Amino acid sequence: MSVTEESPTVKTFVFKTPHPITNIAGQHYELRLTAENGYQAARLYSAVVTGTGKEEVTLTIMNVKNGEVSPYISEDLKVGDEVEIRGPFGKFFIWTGEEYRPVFLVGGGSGVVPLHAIFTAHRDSKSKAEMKLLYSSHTYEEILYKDDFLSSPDVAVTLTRNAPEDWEGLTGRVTKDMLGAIVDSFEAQPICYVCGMSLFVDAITEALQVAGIPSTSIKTERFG
Amino acid sequence: MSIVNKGFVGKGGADSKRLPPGQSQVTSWPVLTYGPTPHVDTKTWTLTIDGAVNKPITLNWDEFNELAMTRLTTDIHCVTRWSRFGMPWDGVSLDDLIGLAGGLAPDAKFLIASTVEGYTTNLPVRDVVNNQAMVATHADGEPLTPEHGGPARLFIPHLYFWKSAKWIQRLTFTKEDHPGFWEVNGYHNYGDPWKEERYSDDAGW
Ligand SMILES: Cc1cc2nc3c(=O)[nH]c(=O)nc-3n(C[C@H](O)[C@H](O)[C@H](O)COP(=O)(O)OP(=O)(O)OC[C@H]3O[C@@H](n4cnc5c(N)ncnc54)[C@H](O)[C@@H]3O)c2cc1C
Repeated sequence: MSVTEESPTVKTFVFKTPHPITNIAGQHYELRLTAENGYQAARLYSAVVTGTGKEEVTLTIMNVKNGEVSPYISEDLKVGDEVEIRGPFGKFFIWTGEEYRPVFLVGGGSGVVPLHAIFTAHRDSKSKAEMKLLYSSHTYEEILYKDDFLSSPDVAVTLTRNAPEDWEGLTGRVTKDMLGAIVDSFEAQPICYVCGMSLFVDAITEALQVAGIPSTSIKTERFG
Repeated sequence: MSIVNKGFVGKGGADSKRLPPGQSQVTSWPVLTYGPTPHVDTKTWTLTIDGAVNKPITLNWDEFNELAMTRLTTDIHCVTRWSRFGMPWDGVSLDDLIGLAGGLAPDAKFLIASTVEGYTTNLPVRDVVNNQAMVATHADGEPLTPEHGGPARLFIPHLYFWKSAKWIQRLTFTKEDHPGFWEVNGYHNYGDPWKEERYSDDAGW
């Protein structure tokens, strides 16, 4: 296992697996912890890298305050430790190069992890379909995958808590107008992938429907 | 081989804090039901996932048993004040069942679970996704007996156990909340054992 820091509260872990693993962009793995008294807790984490059959699984995990599982992984797990990981799972919140329709990705906080997997899978594919991402982050420091996102013309980031003085991007919570403007900038109506905590997903899906996207064109993934 | 994660204790912390407030530990498995125990024949058993999903489906017993099973060893807490520790449960994760039903529609906010005898219980969607819930067929490695909700019951261990409806038949996703049988009869609408959400505030107990 190796660890890299993405932001003050988020780390990316690469776990060695006993056999090769392949996954589709947007799928997730189950990570399970077992206490010495046998008690178990399991959570789902999105695949960060779209699988190439390597003997490893990469996960980006946010340390959620007072959480049951994520603080243990973020603070206590050491290189060399073992964890139980199963997967990949998920048949619905996924993207492959066969998807010919344009795609609008909307993510909040750690909800951007599977969207980043989809975004990079699309970037690295031959797909000609349009794909854009709107990403809501509390602060500049908390923006994940800055290298992939901040230089891309197809990514808009909005900072909801505070922004650096020289920040030229969006600020404040995602609004109907922000969503509407991006929806209208597509050449054809996109299908939408929305991911984050439940309240975020509810607010975004309602606003997307106001912007004219039918509910059948919206896929959601709720983190809790 | 099961890996033990040194220093991981989980919800409630160390053994002394494993019991939610007002609960006592039992090693048996008390049976608590309202009304007679239905005997459900697996030949006619079906499970339907419908409402705010993209492709409603009905599975029969054989189809259900072909799905990938998952096992979780965890604690259960009954509102009648007993808790049992470290029970292994096997079943199909609700995430997988939702996936088979084509995924949730965006306005899926609640799950209304119904049993063969028409009893229902309600849950927020955020409590049944992310591996928090399964349709279980086995506990302690044995098939569930009718008294314990067999052949299949809902399993949501982080809430009081009445939410883990026995003899499950239908999972309907809805936009609005519809309090279920116990919830309209004085029990709490949510049921977090760690906050002792046993009864609704106005039940007058
Ligand atoms: C399909 C799927 C994929 C996921 N992929 C990822 C991923 O790639 N990376 C990742 O970090 N997480 C991901 N999650 C969320 C993850 O599974 C856990 O829910 C998260 O790590 C919190 O678990 P916990 O045990 O630490 O906290 P819990 O003990 O479960 O929760 C503690 C409290 O924190 C709140 N909370 C939970 N998650 C968050 C959050 N993300 N932000 C703010 N508050 C929160 C809860 O509502 C609760 O009140 C995914 C979830 C799903 C369903």
